[in-house]
Amino acid sequence: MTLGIVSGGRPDLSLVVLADSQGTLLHGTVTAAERTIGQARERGWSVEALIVRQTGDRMTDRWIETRLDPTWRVVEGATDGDGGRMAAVAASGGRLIGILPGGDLCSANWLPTVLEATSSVSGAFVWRPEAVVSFGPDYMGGVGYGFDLQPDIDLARHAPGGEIDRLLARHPYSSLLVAPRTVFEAAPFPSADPARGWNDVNWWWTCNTLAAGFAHRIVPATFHYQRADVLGQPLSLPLSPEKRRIGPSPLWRVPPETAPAG
Amino acid sequence: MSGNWRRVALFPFLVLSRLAGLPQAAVIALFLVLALTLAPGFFDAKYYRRQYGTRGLRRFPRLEFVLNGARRLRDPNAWFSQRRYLERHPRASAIPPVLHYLARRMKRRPRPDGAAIETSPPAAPPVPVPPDDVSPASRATAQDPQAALQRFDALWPAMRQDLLGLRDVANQLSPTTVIHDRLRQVRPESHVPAWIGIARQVLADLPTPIDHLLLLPWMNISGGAERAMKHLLAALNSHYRDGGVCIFGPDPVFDVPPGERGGFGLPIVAINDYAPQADFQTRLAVLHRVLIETRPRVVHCGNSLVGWSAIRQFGPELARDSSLFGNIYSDIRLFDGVPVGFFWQFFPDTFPSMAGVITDNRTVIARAGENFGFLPEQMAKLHCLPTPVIGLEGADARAELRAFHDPGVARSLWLSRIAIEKRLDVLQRIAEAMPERDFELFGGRVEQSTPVDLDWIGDRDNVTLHGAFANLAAIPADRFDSYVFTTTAEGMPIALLEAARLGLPIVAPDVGGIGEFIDETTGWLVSGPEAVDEYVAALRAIRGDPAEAGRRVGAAQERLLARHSWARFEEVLHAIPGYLHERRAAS
Repeated sequence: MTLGIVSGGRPDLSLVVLADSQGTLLHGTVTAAERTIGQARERGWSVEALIVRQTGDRMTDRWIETRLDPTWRVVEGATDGDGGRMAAVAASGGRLIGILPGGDLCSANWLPTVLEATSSVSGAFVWRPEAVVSFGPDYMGGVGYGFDLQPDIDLARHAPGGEIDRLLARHPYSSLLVAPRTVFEAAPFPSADPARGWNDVNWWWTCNTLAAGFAHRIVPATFHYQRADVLGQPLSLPLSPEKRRIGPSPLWRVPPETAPAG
Repeated sequence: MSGNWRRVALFPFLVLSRLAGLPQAAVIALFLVLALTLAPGFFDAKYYRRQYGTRGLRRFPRLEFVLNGARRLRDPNAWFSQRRYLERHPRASAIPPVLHYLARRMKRRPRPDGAAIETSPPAAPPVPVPPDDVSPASRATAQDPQAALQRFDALWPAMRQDLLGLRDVANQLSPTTVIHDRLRQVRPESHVPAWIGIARQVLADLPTPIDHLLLLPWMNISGGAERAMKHLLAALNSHYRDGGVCIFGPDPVFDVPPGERGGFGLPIVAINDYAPQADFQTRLAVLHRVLIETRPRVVHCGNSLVGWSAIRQFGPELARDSSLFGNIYSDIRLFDGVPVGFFWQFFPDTFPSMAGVITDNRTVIARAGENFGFLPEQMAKLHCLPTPVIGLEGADARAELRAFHDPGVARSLWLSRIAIEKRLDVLQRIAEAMPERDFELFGGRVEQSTPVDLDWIGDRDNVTLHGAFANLAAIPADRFDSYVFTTTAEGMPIALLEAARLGLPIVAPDVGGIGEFIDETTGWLVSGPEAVDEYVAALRAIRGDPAEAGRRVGAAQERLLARHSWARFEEVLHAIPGYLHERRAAS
């Protein structure tokens, strides 16, 4: 474990908030981010905070300009279809990179626990919170609420045939994650291509990383609080289920009958 | 001790120390003492001794830190690095970074729950993560709703505690009993749709890369469209000599078992190979994913209902990577005018995303323009590819033509497939009107097609049904003085073209593209499917003037040479924009 703010010239982790048109909803996101960053730093981990400003609306820009603590680095003009993720990877310095969608929140123990986890294992993994708590815009209305546990998926170890089928049927993960920089370099985040109907870059990237041999692991007792819109769709993925499609992925070409059994 | 109380305590201390005129080092030391007192647990004496020893003043680590260590950038505990803090906050260089940090902690804006962020309880110890393996239990739990509920119950206390710190910036997450009960709902299990496993099996068996993908509903049917498709397959096999073309059968009626595909000379994969019972939506989903994953340069839909449906539903997206082609042969209406066939079912809404539509006659192209109001540039996407019937496999086309020989008897050939649209009821009426003429019928029935009433044949002495025939050579052309074709819906019937090749005078109705080939110089064109009197008159004219019949046969055969040879077929095929490409290298 590396103590302190900087290790070998680069932070242990870069936390990236993806800002689009969330406006003042970023306040909650940044509050949660600072909370978990604070806990990570208290444990001696060095964490830098970045916010990716995409082609957002004026309210979002104003919030970033006037309310965001100057210690945050702002990555400008990321307009790629990946939601600015790869621009953030390029701009950040962390050995690990965490993604937090604008509007969403994470538990306070998210970063310290995932940092602890990375130091206790060998190999590169994509780390996910154990549970996703979805919540809608209205406490009274109750739309959009749900609790989902996320699975560990390691195709090299556990019944990959059925696992792949489940994964290709429905994305089992939310957008909150931490992964080593090397994972993003080996399997770059794809760019959404609405003209082709390839809209769900999170799902697509999950498939590509698994096909590239990177397991996805949950971090026990950590939470992603995922904001939903009035229709109950995640704010970070404003697509109806029938539009949640991925582009070509090598995962489809893994023959069911030849995949190793768990 | 609350943050507010600390600020209240710090302020008078600051004022008093400056009024007393103490040196700066003393003021800093006093401040450090105070700050460390207000942050119990921050200074870790055991850590300090371990790191910096116990010699001299260091036997009293807190005192040594206040008087000396802080200034020398020694660290007060295992997790706070003064040097690294200084790198992040250069403005803190005037005082020990630790003092800067502790002072800022007290000044931090309040947390949503009223407490300062940095003064929140220390982070809970990280939960151990299994070191070298994923946890099978977590996978099972995530997939089992009841186990998930138990896990929720176990996690709720920690989640509730965590949410208390966020409830004012995300009030919807206020961890009340309402939210608890709302989250603790059993979510329906998500099932894996069947199409995913089927698509994976198909993709595992399809070659890669695919330059040209043909979507065919079946291959063993002997209809005109299928025969035209076989010629196309031969041309594609010739063009893509090194592979790159393959057939995919997405429809439930695909009729060639895997063991019988060797003769086609190219890879053939069908959904029926894995899931013959798959429903239509499953087949559509499989095809869609296959097209996304393979992204052939050309996707050619030949009479595949699933294929046409995919083009209609996903055409604009698929057209980004693949040139979409399809076949349309006629604008069939049956019975009392029911619009059937792909012309009516999929035109014009699929057309904008298509690179081209291939037909075998110009009449249906004109009908499309008239009915759907296509623009000139859209009309240019409709291509007439005449079906070849002579000069196949390098044969001398002209040498294949049989000259007309009048057998001297009134005997007509009827040759086509036995199907409801072939209007054998009209032939029955012609035969009844011409008892002096014999009619011999060659043609097989199509399995699963609408039954055709043939009982009347047994009642008529002048009508003989021979049934299916192996090939054109099996037709005893010398026995006939004419060819009668009855039909109500056509593109360009191959049987008609073959009759011309056999050197028989042709009587046929002006249906579909027939009028493009038969006119008053090349045969006898009757005005419609049910023009029995015109049929009778034409047959009598042929019997009465064999020389004229011979002239018209000769003209028909010249038209056959000009339009329906293999050489002409290849020439037209290669001229279709975007249809044939160079072979892509395997990735």
